[in-house]
Amino acid sequence: MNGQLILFALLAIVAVVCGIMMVVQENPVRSALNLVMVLFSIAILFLTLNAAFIAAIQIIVYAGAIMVLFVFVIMLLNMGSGEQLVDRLRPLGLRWVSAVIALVLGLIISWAITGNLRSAPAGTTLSPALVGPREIGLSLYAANSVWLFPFEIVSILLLVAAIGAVMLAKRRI
Amino acid sequence: MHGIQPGVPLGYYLTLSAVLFVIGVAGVIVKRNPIVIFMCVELMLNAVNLTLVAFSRYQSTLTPAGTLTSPQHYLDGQMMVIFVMAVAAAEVSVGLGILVSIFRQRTSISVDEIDLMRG
Amino acid sequence: MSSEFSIAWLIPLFPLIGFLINGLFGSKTKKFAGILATAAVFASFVIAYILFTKVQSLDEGHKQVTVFLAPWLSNFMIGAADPTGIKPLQVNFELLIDPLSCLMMLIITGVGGLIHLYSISYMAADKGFARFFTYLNLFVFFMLLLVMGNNLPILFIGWEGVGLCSYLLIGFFYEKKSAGDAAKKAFIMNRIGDVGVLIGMFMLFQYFGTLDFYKGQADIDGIVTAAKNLPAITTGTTITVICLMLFFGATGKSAQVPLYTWLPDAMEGPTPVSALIHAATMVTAGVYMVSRLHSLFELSDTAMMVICATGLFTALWAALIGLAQNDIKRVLAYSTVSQLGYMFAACGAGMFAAGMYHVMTHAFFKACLFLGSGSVIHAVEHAMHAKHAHGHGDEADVAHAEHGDSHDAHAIPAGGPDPHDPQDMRNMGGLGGKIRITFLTMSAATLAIAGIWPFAGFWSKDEILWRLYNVHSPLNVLIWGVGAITALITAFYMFRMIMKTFFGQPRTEAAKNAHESSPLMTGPLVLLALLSFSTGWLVAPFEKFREFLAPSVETPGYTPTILKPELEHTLGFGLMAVIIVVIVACYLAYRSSKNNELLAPATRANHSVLSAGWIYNVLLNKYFIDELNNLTWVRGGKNLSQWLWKTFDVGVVDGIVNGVAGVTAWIGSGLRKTQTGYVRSYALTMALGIIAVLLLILAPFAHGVK
Repeated sequence: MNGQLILFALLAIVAVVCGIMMVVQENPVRSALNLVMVLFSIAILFLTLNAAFIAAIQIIVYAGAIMVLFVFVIMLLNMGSGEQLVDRLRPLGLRWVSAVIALVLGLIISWAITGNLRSAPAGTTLSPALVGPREIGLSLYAANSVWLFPFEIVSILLLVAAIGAVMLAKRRI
Repeated sequence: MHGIQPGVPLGYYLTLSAVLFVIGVAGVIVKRNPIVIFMCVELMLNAVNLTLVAFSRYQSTLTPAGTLTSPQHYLDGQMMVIFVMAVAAAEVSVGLGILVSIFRQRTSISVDEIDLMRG
Repeated sequence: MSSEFSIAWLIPLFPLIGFLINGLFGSKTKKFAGILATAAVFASFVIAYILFTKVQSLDEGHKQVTVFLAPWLSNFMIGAADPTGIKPLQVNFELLIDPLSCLMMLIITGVGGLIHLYSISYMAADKGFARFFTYLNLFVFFMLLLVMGNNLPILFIGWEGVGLCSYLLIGFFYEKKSAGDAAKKAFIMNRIGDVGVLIGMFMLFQYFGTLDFYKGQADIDGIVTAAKNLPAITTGTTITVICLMLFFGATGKSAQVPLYTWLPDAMEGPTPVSALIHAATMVTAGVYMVSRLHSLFELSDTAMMVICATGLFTALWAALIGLAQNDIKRVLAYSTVSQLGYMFAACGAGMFAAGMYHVMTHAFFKACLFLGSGSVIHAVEHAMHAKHAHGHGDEADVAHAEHGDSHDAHAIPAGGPDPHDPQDMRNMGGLGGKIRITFLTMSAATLAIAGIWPFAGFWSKDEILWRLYNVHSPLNVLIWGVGAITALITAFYMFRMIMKTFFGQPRTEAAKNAHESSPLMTGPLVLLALLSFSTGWLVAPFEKFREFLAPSVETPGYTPTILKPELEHTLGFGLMAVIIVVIVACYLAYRSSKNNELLAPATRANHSVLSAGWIYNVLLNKYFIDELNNLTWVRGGKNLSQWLWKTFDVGVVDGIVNGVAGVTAWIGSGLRKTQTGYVRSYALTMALGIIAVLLLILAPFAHGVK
């Protein structure tokens, strides 16, 4: 029982509990805030995995931009209160069904992962270095890197998404 | 650099990720508010991000020694996560734009109201 | 195959050319059509006579000459490699010139030519003049093909063709419904018989491997030769079935029981048609086929017995019906059926030459009788129309609307005659003084058919009866007796016809004013009457005839009869004496002018069972056979097709087709329910699908990766 394990357990519990709260809550604002908590705990988990840059941009982009956007839209559509929404699929008893599905799927995935992991060759160690922007940049922009091309494509994708969002949400074309 | 022993086994990270993913799936099926459904999708994406980063971290323990030549290769998972995040951002903006345009005029915001494709 | 016989193909060619010219250009040839058609037939007669003299000069044993024209069917490739499979078949357009076919050719073209000549005058007023001669020439062409072919398919072409022409000619007055019905009846009954011929052909090919009569181009022994070489013991039931099937076809074509009812109704056609087709040629096709395949039939005693019994039964059956008929053509039709029965009886008794001899003499006197009756009808009809038109005898108005009794399935009442029916004998009488030539020629022909010496019928009928008496059978006296009684009845009803038509006082105005026909009509009558008189002792005495025909119809070693020559003349002249007594009785009964049958009208009208009137009613209505046929076969056929239509076609077949569509629609409507339109149910389905796919993928790794 070392400190890393305790930290991991703490963060895991926070993430799971907030996740379940997010799904169970009726109020959409509360769901959003719960999701923010999940994102924070995942960011710290990234840090424990030595992915500093990723952790940073997780907080900046995900929690900072995307979740803010979510809250904007919730407020825009006036969903502040947790009103009763129309449920056309009541007879299906989707709560229980989805719980069962979740359980089964979770078991399958866990079993697939853990039952098939090779044990580490004896004596292999992990590098202790944090991965910061320098390493990410080198990996992105190096001459023979494979990630340059996807990088350019994603930039175009973001442009397209921006235009698309404007087009879709306009009141009148 | 000298290595350190991994404190938390890889399997723990992966199981946590699986649990978060599955919670997201359950949320997509159960929730009727389209924004919340979207947020559950984001939860699923984050779970996957966690998996990718965990694998990238533990990659050195999973590959036989000497097959990967440069340390850059150990970052593949994190590179993928960057792109996943970028795409998720794009997707969220477009998706929320669609939602706004659909539900702007409606009084009730329930995904069950959108049933024009009913056979 | 001798080259000097190769002109044989001209014989069917001339009538075919006549058919084509009259058929295609009939509207232009008009009156010339008759002369063209007659010339074509007489040209064929000339060539047939040339071939006849050549055949007579051939030596014995080589009397069959085949003339190869063109190859037709052959499947040498199929089955040649596999001896148990389909045998190679070769059927060629080949003509056979031998005594039997020469005889038939002469009869067809000779009597046919005379009838063509007669028709030029008889049909002169009809607007379908060219069409008539077109059909007549086509008929002669097909009939010649029938008798000249060297194999069964060619015979069958002719067989079917004459059936078709019979349909066309019986239904010549197509505006009348009864004519169309009679044509259909004839054609359909012929076709029923044709099934027998087809099955016989199939089985013959299976048995002999060839369909030729004699060896021709194909170089395989023909059926007739092969059958002669088969010992009777090895043949068994296959040959019997073949013979019975072929004979069934012959009953259809030659109007024997059970397929005879079309012949009396065929009198709807013009009289020359009745003379040519239903007296001289088409109806003898069955006898020809049986004689041609004589060696085949001789192999099966059962088949010969069936043929003989059917022939005799038909002869008696039809003769009894003829007693009660009032229409002049009907009497002659039933007498045709009866005489055909005699021919088949002779063939069944093994004496094919006697049967063919009767074919020849019957052609002469029956054609003479029919043409004479046509002349009588012509005379009476013209008198009727002249009376109505008050003497402006416009020939063009006289439509030859010949007709018979009503053909709806209701019985004929024994009432009075239709005063406008030129064919009813009760409207005639006393015509002997007015249409002299017709009277004399018809009387000559009637004496022939009654079997009075020295007319032709005596020789042929006497020969047949004597042979019947001598068959190898304990029943030979009975067989002879039936034949003899039929001869008596024949004499009676034929003379009844003569008496009612020509003797006594005229019964109607029309009969008083009748006049003789033109020379084109009386010329053939005279010639045929002369032939009826002289054939037996001058033109072709039976011994010479038989000698001529022997190579075609006799098998060495086959003796169906033991001849007791001392009885021949006793039987023959004894029967003739009885016939003369019958004739005198007939004369005495009918010579007065009243419409007196032997039964008084009051007796005839008595319909209670076991009275004389009841028997008369049954005979007059032809034993109600037509009604019986209608009730069973026609009604049965209609019900079957109704059932097949309503229950099977609409119910089952349409049901299956609609059912397939219905099942598809049902499946579709079931699958439609999965398209709920709700995103959440789609998400649920996707989740379930993911689980399934994951299980499928991970199943092989159930025990870990190593």
